[in-house]
Amino acid sequence: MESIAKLKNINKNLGDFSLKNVNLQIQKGYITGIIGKNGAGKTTIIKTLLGMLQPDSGSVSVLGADMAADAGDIKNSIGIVLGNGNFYAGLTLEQMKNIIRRFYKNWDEAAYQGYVQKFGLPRDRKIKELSTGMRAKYNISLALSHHAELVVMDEPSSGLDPVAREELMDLLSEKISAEEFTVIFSTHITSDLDRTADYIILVDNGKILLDRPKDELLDAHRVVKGPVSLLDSTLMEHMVSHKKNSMNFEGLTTEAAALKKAYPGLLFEKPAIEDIMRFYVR
Amino acid sequence: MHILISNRSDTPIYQQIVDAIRQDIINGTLAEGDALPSIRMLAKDLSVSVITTKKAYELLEAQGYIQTQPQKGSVVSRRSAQLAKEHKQSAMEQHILDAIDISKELQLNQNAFLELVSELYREV
Amino acid sequence: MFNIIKTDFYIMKGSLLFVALYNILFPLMFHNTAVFVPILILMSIYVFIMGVFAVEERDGIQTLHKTLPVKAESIVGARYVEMLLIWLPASALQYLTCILLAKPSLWDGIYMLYSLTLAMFFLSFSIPVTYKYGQVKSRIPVMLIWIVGSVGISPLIIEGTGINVPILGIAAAVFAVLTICSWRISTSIYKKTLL
Repeated sequence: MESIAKLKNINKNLGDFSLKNVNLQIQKGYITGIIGKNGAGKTTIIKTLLGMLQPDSGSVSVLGADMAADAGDIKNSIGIVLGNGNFYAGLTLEQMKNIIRRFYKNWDEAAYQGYVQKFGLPRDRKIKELSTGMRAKYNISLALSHHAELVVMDEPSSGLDPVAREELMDLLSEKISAEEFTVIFSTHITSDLDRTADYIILVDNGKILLDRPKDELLDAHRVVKGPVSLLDSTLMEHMVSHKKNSMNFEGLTTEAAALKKAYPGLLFEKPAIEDIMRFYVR
Repeated sequence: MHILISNRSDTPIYQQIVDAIRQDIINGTLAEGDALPSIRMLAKDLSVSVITTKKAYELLEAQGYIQTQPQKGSVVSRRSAQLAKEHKQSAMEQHILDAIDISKELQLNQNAFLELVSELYREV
Repeated sequence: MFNIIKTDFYIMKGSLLFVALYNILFPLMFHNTAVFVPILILMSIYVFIMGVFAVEERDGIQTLHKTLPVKAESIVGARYVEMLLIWLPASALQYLTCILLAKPSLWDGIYMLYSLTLAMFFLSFSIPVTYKYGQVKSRIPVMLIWIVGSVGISPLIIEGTGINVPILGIAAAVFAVLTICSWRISTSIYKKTLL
């Protein structure tokens, strides 16, 4: 398994927030999802990965290029989707695209037109008149139209409805299965990653809490539910964290097998990524 | 080949895939030499992680049911029909052992038990 | 870098039209004094480059640039080069207008060098300041520098003491070096901008 991007011992102080000793490796050919609360550091990590933010210490390399040294050229191979994108608002989609295409060595006009058709983008409408969803789709279309080997997306789907989000995940899944392609996807809408993500990285307060293959993560944990009366200190020790109300409690554990035997009467469920995040970030 | 995955089941997804493919081999839906979809195609069709389909195929290969060649993909192995037979045989033996246990609970002796077996065999 | 320049010109094409018009109208209107030559050139440069920064800030284009395969040096350097690309046509338009008016004497090539020298001087401060504090905050101080520097000083020099050519030559060389230093400084400010 080859790594396509590496953050090594990254520290960055941004006043009220800092990245502390962040180490991560992104595997080539897979979809890696970066999750965490708003403000946890996902965007900071992504910007550091893309060389848009210079770390105070540590090294960043993507596709073999050192991102700290102002790697401009390597971005020919990286498709970047940051939120809803930044464009000259007064231009039409077609005009803006023509500006952007000139910067790329391997622009693929046929691919771009394919996405325009697929998403139903209005080519001659001004960007400022686009709905949030259309703008997000436009942004994505541009990122996928220059033969990028790596696509990095920061909250690409917050402007999209659930149907459009599923369309996006299917599209990424399709591309990954067909070609040498890697995706890094940061989001707070964890349900998008539940099925198709290969790796999950959980970020909280500038630190990496988890970095594992998604299915392994979900297989290893179980959500535990039961009446409050069964909640004792031993049980609490064997849970990542828990929450309770007057009737029941709910928690997350990696020791489901042992707990099942010791506490008959508890309910165990396979978690979704959201559950993992909820209980690790308390 | 058709596989249905439950995301909510307690069984890990890779295990569900292994069980489904093994079942298809046992009941003959998949024959020796049949090609399996690539791990990436399967991952896309099942909407699961590629790492999981990879793990499932690796397990099947370790158990001897499939063979993977680099660049060529995975094929149901020649041994698999044999394995399937052995698997079915041991399943049958287990059923017989269970039946013997029950016959002891009912206090049937060996002859009575074997007579019962012959009778039922003739009926089928 | 060329792509950035092309894009900036494309975006500012409306404003370029006005700049061209003024470079024809002013000579027509003020055809008795040559003071308009440097003032117009300086104003043309100011309007164009600060206009580029204004649109950029409004639409968040700096973030867009950071996702494109362009180096920071090229992005920032483009703006300095644009100074030359406005200076030349502006001067040419005025010169042609003066010829048409049959008053070519009003137009002296020295004014071109004078304008370029002053432009380099003002730009060397305006660009890093704009990158550091943003276009919105820097707008007024920058505007004051340009207006006072051109409209205020030029009449005094041109009609008053006259332009001392050797001093102008030295100033031009010094400010050219200053411009290159400014480019370096602006690039490092740009790289550190938090978006």
